[in-house]
Amino acid sequence: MSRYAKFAKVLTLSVAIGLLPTLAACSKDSNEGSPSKSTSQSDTGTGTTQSTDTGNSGELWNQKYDPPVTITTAFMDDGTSRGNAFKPGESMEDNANIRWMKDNMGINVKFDFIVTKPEDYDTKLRLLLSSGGKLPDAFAASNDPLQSLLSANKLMPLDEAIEKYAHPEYKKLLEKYSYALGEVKKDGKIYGLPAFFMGDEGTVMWIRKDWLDNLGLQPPKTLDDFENVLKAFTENDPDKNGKNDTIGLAVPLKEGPWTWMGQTDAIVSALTDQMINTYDVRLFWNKGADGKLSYGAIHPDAKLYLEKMRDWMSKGYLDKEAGIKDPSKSSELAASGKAGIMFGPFWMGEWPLGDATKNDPKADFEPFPLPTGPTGLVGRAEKPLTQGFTVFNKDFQHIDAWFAYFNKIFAKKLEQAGDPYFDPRWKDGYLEGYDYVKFNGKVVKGNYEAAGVPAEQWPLKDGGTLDIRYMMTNILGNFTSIPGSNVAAVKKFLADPNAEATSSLEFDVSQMKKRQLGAAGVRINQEVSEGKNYFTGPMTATMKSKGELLKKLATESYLKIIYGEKPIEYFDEFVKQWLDNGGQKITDEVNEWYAKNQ
Amino acid sequence: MAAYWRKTWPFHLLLLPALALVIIFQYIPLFGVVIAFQDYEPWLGIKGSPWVGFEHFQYLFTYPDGKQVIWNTLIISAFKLVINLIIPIVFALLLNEVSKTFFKRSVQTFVYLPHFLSWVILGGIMLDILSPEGGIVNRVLNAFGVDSIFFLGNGSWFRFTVVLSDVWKEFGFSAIIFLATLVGINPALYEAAEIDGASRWQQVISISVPLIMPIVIVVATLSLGRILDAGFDQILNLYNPLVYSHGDIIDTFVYREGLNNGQFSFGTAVGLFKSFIGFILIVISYRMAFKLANYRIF
Repeated sequence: MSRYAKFAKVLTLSVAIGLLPTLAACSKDSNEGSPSKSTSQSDTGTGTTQSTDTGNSGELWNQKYDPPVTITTAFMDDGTSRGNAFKPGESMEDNANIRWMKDNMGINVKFDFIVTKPEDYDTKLRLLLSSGGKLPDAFAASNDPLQSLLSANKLMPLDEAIEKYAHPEYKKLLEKYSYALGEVKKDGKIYGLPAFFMGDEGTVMWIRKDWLDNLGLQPPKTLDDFENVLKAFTENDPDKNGKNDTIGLAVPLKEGPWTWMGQTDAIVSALTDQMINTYDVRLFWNKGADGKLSYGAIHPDAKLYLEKMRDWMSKGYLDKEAGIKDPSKSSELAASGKAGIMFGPFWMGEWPLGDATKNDPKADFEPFPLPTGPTGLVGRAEKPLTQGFTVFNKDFQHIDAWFAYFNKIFAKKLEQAGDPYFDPRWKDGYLEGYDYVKFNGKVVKGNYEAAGVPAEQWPLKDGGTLDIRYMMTNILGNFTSIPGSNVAAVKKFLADPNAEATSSLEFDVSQMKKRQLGAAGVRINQEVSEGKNYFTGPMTATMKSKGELLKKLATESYLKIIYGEKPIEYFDEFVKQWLDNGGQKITDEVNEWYAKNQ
Repeated sequence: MAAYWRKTWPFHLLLLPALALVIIFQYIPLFGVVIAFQDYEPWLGIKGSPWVGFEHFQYLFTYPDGKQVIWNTLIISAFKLVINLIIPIVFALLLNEVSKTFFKRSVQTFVYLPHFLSWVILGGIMLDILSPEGGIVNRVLNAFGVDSIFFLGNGSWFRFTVVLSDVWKEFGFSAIIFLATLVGINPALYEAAEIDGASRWQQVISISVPLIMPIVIVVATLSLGRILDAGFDQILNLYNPLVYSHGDIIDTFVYREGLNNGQFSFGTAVGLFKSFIGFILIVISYRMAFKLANYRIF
């Protein structure tokens, strides 16, 4: 063999051997050993074990710690998907708010770690747990890492601190939504503060108004009307292009009946008082007349839903590919002008449905109230209220300082007259030159160029707005919203779109696009029952071991029935399998939890 | 012996850093596999977590879906293994016969480009081009009077689609190794064959094929070790509840079960099981390569 052949052989062999490492079983990331030794330990160690009220002065809104205290925390900042959160040269660790807190409150903020991905954040927490490293003082946690932290007894029980330091309105909020705190309750104590959603993402019905007009149809009020519109949209060429290329409903079924967009909870609610999801064994647990919880997806009433969907699928009213599409993929059908109806939250008016207008200037998706079922039922699902929790290291010494900052932010969100926690320095906004500027004696937030603000006063050189939430969040873990707090603002701007925003909340609402605002109004004005999930506890043992199996079984069975691959009677067999494969045990565990935590 | 060391010690020294890296990053972490036999909890650590023996392995096989998942993996993976070997070889042999360098180079570049696309992107593209309503593939089929096929929503078509799309994505890249070997064959052999009056076809059969056989054996042997990897990122991006029964593989199952639920021990157990099977298969095929083809890889 010539030298070249040998060379080629060696070369190819080495390429082939290069594949070998992929065989190596598991190579653990062994980097990221110990977290940066935080300063708070040494701070708290130095003599002044200032427990509660010592060292801070003044009124509730104006507490200053002297000597200053240090609070360590951690943060997940993607950096790319958010808008501008900092001015050039500033960062999470060094910005105007951090300096403000230091100067005005005597709180030093230190970040133990900042990561860019949620997975990395969880990994960091797990590493800290397994290496026994020091956890940050206050930080966000949810799901599995949260349960690990709880089981490891690393967290501080908060009942006392809440009682002593929390804003009275916040206490009320915790009481009102105490059913949503199951995940952080242990032995009757609360170990985490919830970050609530605004709770305004309830489903509305988006319909192509121009298609309705083309066909001379009225917006559907009942489920039968709805079916007629589906039929007309599918068969009567609503876009008048002479082609049979439209369908009624764009719906993603890959993730079951309930998801974040395109969900069919409204159809479920029109047929039964149960709420159904197949894609997560923690959702939805409905409360029966006997006070027991049962899983919605196996309730006999689910057959009504399946029959309807199966019928519509066979008639071509639904997207034939619904079963392989996730919500975003599914919405493309509506945005491209092939489907006339899609369910979902108020914000869909901008994305994705706003894209329909880009494709066809006449396309007009309008929000409508949900249809009523044959027995007069109408409703939607209540999206789970919490998006995670803020928890505290059990050795944290300065929770009073943490609450001092938290109460200030909370009061700013409430904007109640005479609130003793309200910081007058934040009257117009958080930081001048960041989230607002003053010009000719007026407060301007956003659209600086249009308001005539000279360029040197703009927070950012390009005249854009700065998303101050990232700066303000630092030690708070998760930035909580106050559920339902924007209802009044929505009503105000619906009545008069040009009204002046007098609070930050109102300002946010005034920034909504016309269709979004309209949809928010449609949701608020249609007062219907919202299917609640009564199980909010941590995953039970059987959920952990069998949850995935049951999720797969349920989602697969539902789709097979809807697609007509299995007869409707198959549902009973599915229920039996579900119960036999751990579902019964989960039901028992859930009810055991409910009996204890009701 | 001493003379040997005196002469070669600098080479051994050169080897040391690489050896150290392998030991530190490949071998030492291997001890982590003990968590496959534990109920590992992060806050208890390896030292504190309770031992459970073979419970997690048992779980994989007694799990109601376990058999289905293993079966799917084997079928998809076996098809991929065979076709991903044959197509690149045939392609390399064909391309090797092309004499116009420019054409050869462009084709080669063109066909290995898909290798660099991620399945996340391709998944979205495939959803569109394979759509039964208006997807380009089905439109072509309709033009020939064939009814639309729901490639990604029909169980039996799903496996076909997965294998074919994987071959399409990878065959150009896999062919590189065979092309390199073909280029390395001594031209004198072909010249001699030509003088003896061998046709193009005879040259391929009697010179090219036998000379790339060793590399084919190497590639086949190494890929046998991965028989339980049926292509995680591909299937994760293409599968859906409609095709779970035909398309759910060990890796997607472990992903849902182990990672989403934080079941580290179970995930490790399955990884260990896969490596173990892969190891046995490599040893067997290595022996067979030696026995049947009288070829030693190492």
